[in-house]
Amino acid sequence: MSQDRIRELWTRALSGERLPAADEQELLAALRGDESLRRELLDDAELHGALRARGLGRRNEEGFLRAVATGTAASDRESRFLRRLEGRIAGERRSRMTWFVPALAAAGLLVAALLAWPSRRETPEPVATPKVRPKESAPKVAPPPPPEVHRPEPPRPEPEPPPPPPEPPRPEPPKPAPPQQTPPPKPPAPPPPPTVTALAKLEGIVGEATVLGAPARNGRELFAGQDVVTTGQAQALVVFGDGTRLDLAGDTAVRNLKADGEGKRATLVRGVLVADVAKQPHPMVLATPHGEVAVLGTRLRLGVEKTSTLLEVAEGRVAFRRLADGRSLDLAGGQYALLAPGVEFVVRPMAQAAPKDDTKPYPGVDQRRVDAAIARGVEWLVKQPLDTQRGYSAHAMVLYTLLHAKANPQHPAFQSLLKAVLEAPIERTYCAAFQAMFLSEFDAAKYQSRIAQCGQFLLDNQNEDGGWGYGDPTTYPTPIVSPAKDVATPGGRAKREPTRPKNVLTLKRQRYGGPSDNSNSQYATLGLRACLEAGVAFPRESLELAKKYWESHQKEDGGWAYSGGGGTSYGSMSVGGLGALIICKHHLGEGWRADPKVLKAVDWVTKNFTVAMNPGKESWYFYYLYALERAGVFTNLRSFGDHDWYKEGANHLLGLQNPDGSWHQSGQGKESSGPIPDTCWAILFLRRRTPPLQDVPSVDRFNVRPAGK
Amino acid sequence: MTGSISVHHRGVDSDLEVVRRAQAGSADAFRELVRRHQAQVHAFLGRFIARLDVVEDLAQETFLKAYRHLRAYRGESSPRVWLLGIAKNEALMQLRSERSRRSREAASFDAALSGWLAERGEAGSVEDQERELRALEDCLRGLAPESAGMIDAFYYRGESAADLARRAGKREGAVRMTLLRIREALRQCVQSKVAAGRVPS
Repeated sequence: MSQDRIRELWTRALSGERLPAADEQELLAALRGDESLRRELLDDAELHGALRARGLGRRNEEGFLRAVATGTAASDRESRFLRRLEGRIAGERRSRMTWFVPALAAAGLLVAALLAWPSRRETPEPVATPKVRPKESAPKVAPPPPPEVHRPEPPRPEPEPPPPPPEPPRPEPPKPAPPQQTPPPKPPAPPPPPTVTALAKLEGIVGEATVLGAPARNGRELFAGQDVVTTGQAQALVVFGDGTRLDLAGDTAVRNLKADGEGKRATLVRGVLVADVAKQPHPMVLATPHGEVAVLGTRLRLGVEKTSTLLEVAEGRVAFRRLADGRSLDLAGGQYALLAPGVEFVVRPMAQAAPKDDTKPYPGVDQRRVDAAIARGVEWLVKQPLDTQRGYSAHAMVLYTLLHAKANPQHPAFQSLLKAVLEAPIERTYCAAFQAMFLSEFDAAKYQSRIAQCGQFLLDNQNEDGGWGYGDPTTYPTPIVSPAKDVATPGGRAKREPTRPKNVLTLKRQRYGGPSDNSNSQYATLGLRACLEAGVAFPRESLELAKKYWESHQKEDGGWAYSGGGGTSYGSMSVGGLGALIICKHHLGEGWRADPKVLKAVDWVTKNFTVAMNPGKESWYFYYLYALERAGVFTNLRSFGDHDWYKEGANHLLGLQNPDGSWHQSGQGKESSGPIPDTCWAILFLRRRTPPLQDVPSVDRFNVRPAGK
Repeated sequence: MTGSISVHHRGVDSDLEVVRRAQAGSADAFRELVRRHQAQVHAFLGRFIARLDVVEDLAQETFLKAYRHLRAYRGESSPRVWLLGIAKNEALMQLRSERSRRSREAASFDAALSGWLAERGEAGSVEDQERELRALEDCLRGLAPESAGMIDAFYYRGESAADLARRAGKREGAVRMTLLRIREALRQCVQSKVAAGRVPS
């Protein structure tokens, strides 16, 4: 090979061009075979890398300074926190020691008393007057048990007919005193049994519901201080006299029911309830281990988990108070708030979706300009020769863009790209992901086997940490084929759409992939979703790993950086991470709208929102905008804080289009993948046709039953 | 054009003073330290890490580690060598985590190049590498205006070879070859300065 040829290949490869396989091997052979040439060119590569990275540092000096300042501030906070924690631990140790000394003395006394006890028992004192007065006889209606005390819930046969208010175990009545020389004074007469009326009744029981540990039946009256527990998937309704209802989902515990002159009260210890509260003269208080909800009349949903309380208000107004600091929020219908560690305690909108029809005018955006801009972008895209679409294997990305832009699939450029995509081996993660996304939406039934190959590539290139890197080629064994079933939806089971594949192709992992990063991982997660929706099934372990990856790589501030190890959060990785985490949780059947990690990420996006740049990066601008579109669609949020993401983004993008119809950052001192990917990302944002995800599991968990039933 | 890519170098004593103020708790002083050295830390990492996003992450991590361990710095080496030492540790950790990937991908150019650069990066001493970077800064200042303009446009303003070719009415390949020749000249300049001990402090 001539020196000129080597240098030509070398400079092309060094500039990021993906060489044809034969050229690449030719260059590698030359480098391996000539040590002095290799030394010379590696010197050149070092210099090229140093200049490139130095240029990046100089271009992005302000952004870099901001990022480091954010990191050092977080480090300071962490140090302060650790100092406080150490102080508290030290204080606690001291207080434990101060407690320990008298406790030791008390223990000594107790041991001494126990040692003395048998001898006293053997020679009982003649009891003239009982040393301990017997307890007053139990009232007809037992006093309420102390709230918040866990009771064992053994199955106990329920007496028929519906039992009277239960009685707690009574202490054994004192045995008659031995004959005494002087009669003891008469114990005071027991107080008259209080008049007790039931507060509420238990209705609508499905499965097992217990009251004070005993299974209960419909019509069971409930009294002050009692509690109701549902097990497993059971349901139960607590109905008060004024029509107020507490609808308990499965595995839910409500303690210490009360209703008196100061209002109604109940404590939700765990699980979920829907409260339909009639108009109250005094606020009804629904307490949880983390907060209190005060309502005068409304419909709301309350969920309690180990460290968090979620409140969703369907209608009316509700005050939600955090116990830790007494801070209170006022929520109206359509709003929710989450009390959880690390999540901002703020009012959030429940449903604020952007208009679904992307071809209809969006308020504040000139739809004609959007349509015209997309048409010009498409016109530019289809003119680009195939061999220039390199680097990120952009063929599938262009096809996906053309599909979303509603370009004619019979257009020669569309057909050429399709042919190229289907004939080329799958070599990179981005390529596999975009191909799966495109084919799944284009014709999943026709191309299901190819989608399964994309899926196999993604599965075999998933790192053991759950993320993805650039990926290596894999092999494609025949997947297991089984008939597709109807799809479960929040509203019931839907029939399979005719365009959906008739079979499910189940994949099996052959190996794990190389080191991961958050960019490849977010696209791989999109590809994984596309496969699942095209009837290509992954092992659940793969989704679990992916979810764990996104959760564990989230930074303390709620965002994501490029890699798991270092770096600070920035825009494109954070909105991409948010979308990917939602995808994982959705397909694992977990609710995500009140998930603390999702909300932390939404808070990050809200605080750092801008469409003028990729927040914290100043590069990869169009890449960021497409990730923002996905985050907006998946969260079903029209706005992040006060920012209408589509309106602001679309208006900004319209002003950035080049006269030739493309979008590109070149010349502005910023990194990007080139005009083809930039144009695709811009169009994908403008079209906002990312298929949304429903928060199905959340609906399953929180929709106890339709109102009024 | 040369001015836009020149390095405003400050004396070691001055850097030391900045570190001392940062050690005393001055946030402004630490910011100044970052401002002075971030381009060199980026350049140092870029020598053996190909992915710019990773370079940027590692550069941030370098300064965060430096911030957390400011008190450990005792002035035994210059602040810049100290920072580059931290950067090298970060880079080596990254390279080790990529090693398994490289072995699987050995057939690809990117992987082979990464592997070779990593070996070189691991083998050299931080002091020698820092000296070469200082020599490079000096050589950049001495570039002819036309060459400096190309380096400025391609590396610092982020223009592509295609952009430069379009503007100059040349082929993209010709622009890439011109850049290669400029780098060759820079490399010879660096080597001669290092060999002759004429590297400015």
